[in-house]
Amino acid sequence: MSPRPFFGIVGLLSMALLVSPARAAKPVDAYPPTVRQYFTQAEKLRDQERYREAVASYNEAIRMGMGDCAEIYLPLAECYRKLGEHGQVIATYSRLIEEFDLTSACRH
Amino acid sequence: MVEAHRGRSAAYEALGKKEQALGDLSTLVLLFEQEVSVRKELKDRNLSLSLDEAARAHRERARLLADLGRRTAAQSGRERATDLEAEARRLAAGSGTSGSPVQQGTAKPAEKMGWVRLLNTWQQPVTVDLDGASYILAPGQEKKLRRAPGPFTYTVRGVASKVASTVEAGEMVTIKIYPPKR
Repeated sequence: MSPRPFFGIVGLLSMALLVSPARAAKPVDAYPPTVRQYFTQAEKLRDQERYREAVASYNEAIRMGMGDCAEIYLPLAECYRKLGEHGQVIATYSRLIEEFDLTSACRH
Repeated sequence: MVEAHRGRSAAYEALGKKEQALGDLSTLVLLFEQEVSVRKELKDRNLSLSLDEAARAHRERARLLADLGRRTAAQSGRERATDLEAEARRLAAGSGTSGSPVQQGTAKPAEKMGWVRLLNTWQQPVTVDLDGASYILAPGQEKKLRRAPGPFTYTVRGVASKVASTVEAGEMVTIKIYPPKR
């Protein structure tokens, strides 16, 4: 077997390690309903294009303990983008890139 | 990860921080070039997907390089993108299943690809395994995945066993995810 696929995969893993401390993400349903309700509410508000309120709900979910849920950061960044708050977009994506491992964030 | 780098790059660019934006696009180029390399070695049938993604990343990066006045690097990126696109076209022509003849070199890559649309209609997040890649969908979320024409299999974790399907060139196959029947 050619070693190149192995090195390719090792390369990807090495890149993941370079942005450590990476951590595994917890799925949304791993959180108690009392915490998850903020995420659910944020998703509804985002669907209704009420981005400012959605941001508040996402951040409340993070404050209540969902900070280790990778799924929260993409929609949160999208809300900031819709609001034209590019600094917050960068901060949100940076947190996702720097704090989570590739398996929780790949590939979209 | 891809969406995060692409999104952060766009935000940096909106703030005029083009060097930082370039950093994210360079990361994407590296990731997709790695993916192309691995899929080539594994003779993965979704190689053309990676080729198209890599080409797109090179073109985005080349555009920014041109904005920054780095014309030689920009030209090099465009040439690499053209090569990747040509390779994707050759692959698509070789595995075409639509029955219509493929005019190599005249059609755009997008015309040779199909789409798989994942739509989570459930009030729970789900994970879909599709030909070795995993996609997490939040409640109500949809993802559109460009794919080379041909058969594929998918599994909705915890909901359904493996399902086989086929996507034709230019076609979109929608996979709706419903709650499991109790």
